[in-house]
Amino acid sequence: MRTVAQIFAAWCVVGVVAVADAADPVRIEVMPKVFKLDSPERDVHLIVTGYAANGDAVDLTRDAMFASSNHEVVAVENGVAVPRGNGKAVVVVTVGGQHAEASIEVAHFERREPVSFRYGTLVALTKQGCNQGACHGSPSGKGGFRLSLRAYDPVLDTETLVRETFNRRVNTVEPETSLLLRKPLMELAHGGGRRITKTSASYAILRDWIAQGCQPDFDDAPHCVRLELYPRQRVLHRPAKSQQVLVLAHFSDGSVRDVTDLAQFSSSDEAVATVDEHGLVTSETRGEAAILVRYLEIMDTAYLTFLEQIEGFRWPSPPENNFVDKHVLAKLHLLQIMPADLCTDEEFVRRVYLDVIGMLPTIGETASFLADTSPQKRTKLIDTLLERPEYAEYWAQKWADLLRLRDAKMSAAGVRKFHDWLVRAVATNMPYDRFARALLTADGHTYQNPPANYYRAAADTLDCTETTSQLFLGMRIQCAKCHNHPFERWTQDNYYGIGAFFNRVQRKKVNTDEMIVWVSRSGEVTQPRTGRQMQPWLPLAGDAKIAADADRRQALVDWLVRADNPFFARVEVNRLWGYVMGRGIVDPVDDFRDSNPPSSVELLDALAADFIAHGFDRKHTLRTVLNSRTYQLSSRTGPLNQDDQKYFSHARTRLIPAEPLLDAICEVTGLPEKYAGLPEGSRATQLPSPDMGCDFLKVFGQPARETACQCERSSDSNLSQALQMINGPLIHGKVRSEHNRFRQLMAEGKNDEEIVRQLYLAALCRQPSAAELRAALGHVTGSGDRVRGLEDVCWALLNANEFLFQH
Amino acid sequence: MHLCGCQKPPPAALAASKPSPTARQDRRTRALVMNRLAATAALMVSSCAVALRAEPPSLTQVTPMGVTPGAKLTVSVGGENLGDTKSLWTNLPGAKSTLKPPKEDAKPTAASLELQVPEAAPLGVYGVRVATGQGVSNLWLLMVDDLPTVREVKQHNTRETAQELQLPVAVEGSTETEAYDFYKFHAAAGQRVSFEVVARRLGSPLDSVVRLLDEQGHELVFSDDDPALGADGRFVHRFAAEGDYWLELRDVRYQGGSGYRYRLRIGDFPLATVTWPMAGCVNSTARLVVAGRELDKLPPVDLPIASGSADETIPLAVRYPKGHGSTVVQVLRGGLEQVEFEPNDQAEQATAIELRGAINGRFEKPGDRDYYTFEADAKQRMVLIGQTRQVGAPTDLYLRLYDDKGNQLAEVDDDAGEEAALDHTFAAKGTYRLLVEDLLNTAGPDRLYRIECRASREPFTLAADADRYNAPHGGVLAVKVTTKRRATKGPIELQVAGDTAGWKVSKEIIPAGKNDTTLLIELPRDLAQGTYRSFTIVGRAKDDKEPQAVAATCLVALRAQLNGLAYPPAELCKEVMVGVGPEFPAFFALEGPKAAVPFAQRSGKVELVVKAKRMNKFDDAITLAVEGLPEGFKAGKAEIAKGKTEATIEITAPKNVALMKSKVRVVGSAAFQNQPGSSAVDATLEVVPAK
Repeated sequence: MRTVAQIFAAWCVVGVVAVADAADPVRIEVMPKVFKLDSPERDVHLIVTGYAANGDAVDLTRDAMFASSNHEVVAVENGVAVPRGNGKAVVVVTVGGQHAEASIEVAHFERREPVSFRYGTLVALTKQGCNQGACHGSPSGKGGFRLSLRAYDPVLDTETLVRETFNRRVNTVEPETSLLLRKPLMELAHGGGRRITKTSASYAILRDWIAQGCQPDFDDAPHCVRLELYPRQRVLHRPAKSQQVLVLAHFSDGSVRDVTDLAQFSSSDEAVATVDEHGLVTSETRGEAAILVRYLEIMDTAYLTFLEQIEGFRWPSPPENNFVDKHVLAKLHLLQIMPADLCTDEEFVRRVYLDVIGMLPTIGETASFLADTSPQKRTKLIDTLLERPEYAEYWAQKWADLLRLRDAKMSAAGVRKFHDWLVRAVATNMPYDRFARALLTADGHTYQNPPANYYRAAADTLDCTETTSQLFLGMRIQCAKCHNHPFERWTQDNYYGIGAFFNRVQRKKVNTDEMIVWVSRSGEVTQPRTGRQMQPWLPLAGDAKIAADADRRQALVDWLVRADNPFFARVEVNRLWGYVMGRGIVDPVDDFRDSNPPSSVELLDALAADFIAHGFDRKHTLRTVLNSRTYQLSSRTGPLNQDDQKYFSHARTRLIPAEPLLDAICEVTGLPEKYAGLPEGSRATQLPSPDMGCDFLKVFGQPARETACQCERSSDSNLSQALQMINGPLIHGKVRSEHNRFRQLMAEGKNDEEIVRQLYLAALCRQPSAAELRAALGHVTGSGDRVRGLEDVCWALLNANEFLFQH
Repeated sequence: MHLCGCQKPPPAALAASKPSPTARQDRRTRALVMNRLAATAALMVSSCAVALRAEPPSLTQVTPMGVTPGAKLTVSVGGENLGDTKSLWTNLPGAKSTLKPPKEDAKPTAASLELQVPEAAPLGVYGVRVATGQGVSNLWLLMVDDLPTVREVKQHNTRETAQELQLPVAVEGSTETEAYDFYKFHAAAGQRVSFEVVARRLGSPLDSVVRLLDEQGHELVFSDDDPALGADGRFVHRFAAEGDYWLELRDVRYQGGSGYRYRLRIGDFPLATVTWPMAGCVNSTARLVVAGRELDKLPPVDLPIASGSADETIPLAVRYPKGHGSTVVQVLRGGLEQVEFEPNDQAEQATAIELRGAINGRFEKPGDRDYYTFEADAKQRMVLIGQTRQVGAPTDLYLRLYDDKGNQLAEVDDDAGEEAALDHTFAAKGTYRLLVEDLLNTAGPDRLYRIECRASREPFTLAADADRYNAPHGGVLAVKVTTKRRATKGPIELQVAGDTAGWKVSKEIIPAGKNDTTLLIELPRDLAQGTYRSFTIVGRAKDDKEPQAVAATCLVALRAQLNGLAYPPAELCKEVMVGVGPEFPAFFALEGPKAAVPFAQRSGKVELVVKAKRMNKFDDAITLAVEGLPEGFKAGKAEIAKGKTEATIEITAPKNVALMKSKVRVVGSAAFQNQPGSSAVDATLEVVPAK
């Protein structure tokens, strides 16, 4: 074992200048400071933390010495306080020359507490992974043995373990011979391999539960109400790279139990930190990780940040345009990630046009912007773009994806009416709280009140529950329809509790195309597993009190748009951020969960607060983000930021979405597409639904709008896309067309250089470099056929990454 | 013989090989055409797909769409098979029309008529049809309007080429595929202007979207569907500044073609929806308040309510005192009109009513709901029938019935798009409460309702499958009649009513447990070719002790024909029209033995072979009968089987029959496409001595 002095010496030398001369921690702390063990079966881990003079912390649990003041009461074995008899004892912890004390009381040592079925047996099975989805927790079980997924259904598990197959899985007379033990021990063939050993805590629990007669829990048995983690949040500087997490479970009878050995752990970012089954977190690189701790359906999260000094890193103190930069730069500074330089004007004009209105600037617009010498020209351009009608059309299309505008779902006319409504909602900058209320409380004729189509796309209570949760709460709650969510806090009860807001929504046909959405004055949701009638339930708020015949959706929206709602504003600002930055602060943008924390809590909170303060003004938030230095950073990276994928140290290059890409191709070639059912000159970003599109769009990720998930729009590159661009009929047709841009320029008498320059400006919003121009002109001249040569240049530009990607 | 000279290809073949321009452009129209053809085919009882009927006229265009009272104008009709146009039918009271002689080179796709609209013609929507020697056309809707009409010009698809209008005006046009129509007009500061698209109300498939734009192209108003009118949008705008303004009009799906017609009304007319109350007592003068959206003050209207059919409304033209145009609302004929008294949102505030006459109420503020209380006897039946959208009110009624303890006894919403109807028989004498709500909890000045209180209800409904039929002269028309049974399971007897003397009806029973029959009506020969008759079909439940006459409606058929117009004018739904075409052509002819058929004495029988020449792909069986047999002779039953061309008739006689020669006649009869046909051939029987 290393000495504490060694640890601290390394820590201080490598890490923090302020404690460079400190050989030992200036103080240590032990957790828990006070603890009561009220059963001989219980023990408690002692977590020791050392603090340097500057306050930086290090986990010294495995380096500390423990001494009990009374070995008849408490003994300490490998950092775990174990009861030996009733009474009180003080455990003195010593490390690095510092001391700390923990007071431990032992009570009811003489009482043999029966093993709880729920908090013993099921926890043990869950800890060992027996009831995970890949094993016996799958819907059909494994090897004829089926458990509920992660113990969400104790009643089913009781039946399975105790009564099914004539009780052959357990032998209460000779517990050690039980199949339930011999299989996971691999004393008998077991497809899942060895899951436990005879020395593990889980083995002891299962054995004791069988020996005690496989008793279920009493109805009034105490239940776990919350977890307490230590540390909940910690920043560790290299060389400190590990941290033990302590998990205490608080029960309804007031008792507190150390469940560290029984809880399950997972890391939000395994590239940054891993966590083992005992709760020891180990980091390999700098970054942040959320450690999700689960004890049956109760969950909590510890947030750990690992820092290290990067050689050659010098903080450049870049200026901040607004609060976005403050938070982003603070994080980059903390993690020692170098922010990129500002992008060029050429990059900015292309980027902001594509992001805000989904179009490339015309050559004239580019030239005008580049010629503008005003220091405020970027801000002016942002303001101009946000007022253009194309902005409304492009951003309406994003919502049309999420709201699943398809002819098959809401009829061809219904789609167009809903699309018109969305365009107007964006054009008039309808506040987001009003927007959500209009959708969620919509009723009436779907033609006369297009938002009512929300309930055509979401055609039943379950779909409403899942769609609303994902769109407005950022919760992917689908799993909880059939069982408690395996990775999140949401239970099956929660799912149907949200469903109770929508259960009364009714739909009736007016004719084959039109529908009336209305709300019944009665009707309740029944939880299918328990048969219990569910009350409307609000996440993190509990059951909602609503008048018997009121429209429950109003209560949901009232809660949703409250300033203190923890989801609503955050989800939307994150979505807006994700659209223009290429990645959400929480990513995927509609997957908010404890195990998927934001890359910057402070940034997300600040954006949400600002959004609320400005009346849920989406245009304001977009304007704020677009004006930030962060948005305007270059996509060019260096060794000090090239690995960063989530802290926004540089612009993220990404394939231009399908519709803007097709419009960009049309703009560069000067040849608009014709879409059936839309007037001449319509752009792909104006398409109300994919029913009117073309194969090109589908290849490039246009979603079929089958789900409300933003993930349905694919942003991945694939071979079909390459083929489309290289020799697809669309590109081929436009490059060869007699009416395309370069042929028109030829007809106007432009020379090759003028034409090449125009093509570069149209496609890339910049002039070609000298080398590029030389190469292009050389090719045209050398090809022997001017037209073919220019076709090649045009084709090459359309196939260049610089054209295909947003950067 | 081919009385109609029908060597032309059948209509189905025509439709398949040469669709009309409209059909080519418009998938929806094409679908409708196909539906009609499918319906026609379904009518043909024969498996043969050959159509021998004449080709009746069909209308795809009537210009203008609106006429003004007192006008004498030329109405141009367009469509198919109009070359033989004889007359124009309309239900516009007092209207007179004369056919303008066609030009020599006139095509059968157009005709012109002179129409004289009476000065006193009530504003509103009316039906027109044309009759030719081949039959009567489909229904077309025409508007009597007091705004001056102009036609759209060609090429006004951009703001720059917008057609200039002088207000007030009604401009008639049609949208083009994937294009906009633009209009430009001048408005003064503070001027209030009403805009209204009349399209679906005239049976157009157009689902209009209108945008009002200022000089910079900024959108001032976006107008799509209207709660009261559906696809026809309307709005009022008060202009803040004097200037030029533009209207952009399109179909919501950018569909177009000559069928996508509209009448765009712009002026200072009130956007009235309905009156309060919605009915006036018959044979009295009702004081009515006009309700609508964005209405300026209008004085109450005193309207004499003449007697008439209870389900026919009285059109009431409403205009501002100094206005130049009107809007028509419909007023019902009523009796005891009971009205709600606010506040009655709570049970204890319920308005007391009697279970007779009608209840009138309105939802003026959000959350408004109306309680009524009444007494009912044990076993008393109560039928409450809502009247809202059929009269123009955008209310969607939701009724709940409670006993005096607050227990809910019944609840109803509307039924498949029809108005809500609550039918309840009380178990005990007592006090009851009725709660009336708008299903969607919407409120507004025109969210009115009327609920008829009846003691009974028709035990079934009847629907005809079309609004017009065409039959050959002296031929048979087949009308599929469908019932929705409410309180009867037994047979329903059907009759025709109207000017139907001499009409013979068969298959006039909808059997017990069945829901339809194809009623066959044989027209008298004195109903000449080129004439038409309207008639009604009335059914009675045979099992009922006091059978109630129920009239068949063609509402469903008209809705389909008029592109989903939910409520065509009520009187057009009650009567169906039949046009008389030419004779149905012969479809078989019998041939017999030319020489005398020898009948050997004492043999007792002989076989007479009869052949049939089949025509026009007629393939069904032909029933044969022998007439004029000598005394003692008998002929066996015989028929030429389906698909066959000859049959043998066995003729028997006593063995002691005397030598003789006798002429007999073999008569064949059959039906083809529901039309009867017969043919006869003479033969000679010669009794010869036995060998």
